[in-house]
Amino acid sequence: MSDEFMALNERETAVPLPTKLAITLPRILIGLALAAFVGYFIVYAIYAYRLFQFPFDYDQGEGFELMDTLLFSQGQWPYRDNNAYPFYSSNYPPLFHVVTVPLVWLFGPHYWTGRLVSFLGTLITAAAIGYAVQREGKRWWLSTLAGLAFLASNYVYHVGPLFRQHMFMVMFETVAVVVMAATIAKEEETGRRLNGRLLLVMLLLLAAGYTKQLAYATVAAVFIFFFIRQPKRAVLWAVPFALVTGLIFLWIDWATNGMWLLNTVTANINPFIREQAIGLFRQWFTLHTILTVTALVFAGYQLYFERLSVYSIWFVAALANSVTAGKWGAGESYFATAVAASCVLTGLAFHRLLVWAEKRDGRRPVGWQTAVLTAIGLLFLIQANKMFHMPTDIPALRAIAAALGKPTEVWIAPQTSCSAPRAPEMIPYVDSAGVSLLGRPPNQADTAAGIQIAEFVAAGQTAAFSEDAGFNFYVGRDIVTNPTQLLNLYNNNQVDLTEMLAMLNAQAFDSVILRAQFYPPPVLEAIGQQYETVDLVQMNGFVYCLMRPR
Amino acid sequence: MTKRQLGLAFIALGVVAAIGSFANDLFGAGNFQGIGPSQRLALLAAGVIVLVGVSLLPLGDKPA
Repeated sequence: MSDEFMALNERETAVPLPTKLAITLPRILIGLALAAFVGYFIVYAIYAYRLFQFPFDYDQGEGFELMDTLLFSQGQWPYRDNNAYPFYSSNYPPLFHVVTVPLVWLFGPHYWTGRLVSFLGTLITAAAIGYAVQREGKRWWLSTLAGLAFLASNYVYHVGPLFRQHMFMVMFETVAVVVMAATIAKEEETGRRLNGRLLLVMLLLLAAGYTKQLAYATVAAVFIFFFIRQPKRAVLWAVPFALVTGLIFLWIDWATNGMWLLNTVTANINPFIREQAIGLFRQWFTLHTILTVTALVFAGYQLYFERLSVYSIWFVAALANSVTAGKWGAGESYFATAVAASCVLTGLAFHRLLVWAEKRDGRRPVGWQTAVLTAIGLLFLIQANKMFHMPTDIPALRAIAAALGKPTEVWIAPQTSCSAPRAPEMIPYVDSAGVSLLGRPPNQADTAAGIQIAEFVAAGQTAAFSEDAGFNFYVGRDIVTNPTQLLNLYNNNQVDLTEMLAMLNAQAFDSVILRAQFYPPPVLEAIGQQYETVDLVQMNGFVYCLMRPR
Repeated sequence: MTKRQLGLAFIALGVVAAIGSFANDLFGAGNFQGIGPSQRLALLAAGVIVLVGVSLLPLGDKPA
């Protein structure tokens, strides 16, 4: 039991009933907050488990990350020439896929492999957040709430168990920052230099950057903090860090004949959509108001009244970097690092408030400590309410949603791009983030729909020219091109479509599968001229167009 | 590093950010004549950074 609760216990024996009630109230509220966030964790685990069982793309792009992993498992680079069949290349750094390779060796190219690795990564991130708060606060319930709040974020819930590398990057970032904070604190406490631990921080930062490019903001945050505390030493560490990062970059580029630079840097220069960025910032703030405001206030307090912690600098850097969520192809997951940082800062801020209240109270049975504990319990409950998300196709969860006065279903029209619009359908998933196709656990009908599309591909002799990789994977055919990567390259004048268009015009593919028509315009034009839709199949809220040669 | 030095760094960063917000124009990018909406936001952010920097200057030699 934490100190403040023990203290309240001691005072309880000889106090009147109203005082006893006042002492009990914060316990009830914090107990309820813990129950709410444990509940979110159970919901997250259910969603993850059901995603592990789903053998097709849930989020567009997952299959291409599986393809990257498969290529690494065969000792090949995924940074390839997009101009020649199968016109495939990856636009992401390698680490997440390399880490997943042993599972692909053992079990084959299945979607659950990367989904499991990403999910475990989010659990490690939550544990690191909890550790960061526990190290300073020594209050198990506060540390648990801070860690679970991260997993309860709608954004973490949506993308955590997907075969996407983003949350694995957040894991490396978080662990790096937590180790950095602990290292510098220990150094300042003991007066000894802990170069081994600093080396670990550098390796974690390197791992974050080679999991996804977006980690540069965290790298900058750690070095800014280091520079503020120890300018000369920070520069001495920054030089070899930059050198090693650069040498690895050059080595991969050399090994892939320049395809690494082209596909991971040049192809990632996408247009910035201001409205998308503003909309996502609004949504992020609305969903994470308590965490964000607490983090901002605490960071401001540190800026003016004490030394800046690495967590405050990290939060501000991650927040500024979240602007990149406005790039075409980016999205809500770009806020995950800011959410992780805000969870740590919230836990630390509440700990500091409790320490302050403890000092103010002395031996008073009910005072500041009771008020602060009550406020913390209430604030976490408000935050839990703001993040509400729940699949309601399970009777118990449906009953909980109804009991909480939340809707038990929403009506969403299936996403169509290559077929006529459809009427809204009932979706058994409720989310404060609004209409979202991420978060609803896939069901048996989705799996059956995926198998139906795969059988359509299998009926032909060739690989399908498909926007999702899952159908070709399912029937053991080649994975042909990556539509979003192709579009990025096309928009940057970095791809020659001649061979691809010749194959489409010669109807070299027995089937074409469209979901969102992400291909570049000349490719869509060739498809339109040479292929016709023969069937429509709905999976995960998207209507897929199944096409055969005309 | 002191709070004052940190304040000066903020001011420098804000000035660079303000200049940087016009860099697009120098390279001929952007769809707007004069100051576009994104540039306005960037300038606002740069102004806030400068103001935070100025507010740190009186804190003098306290460690940052």
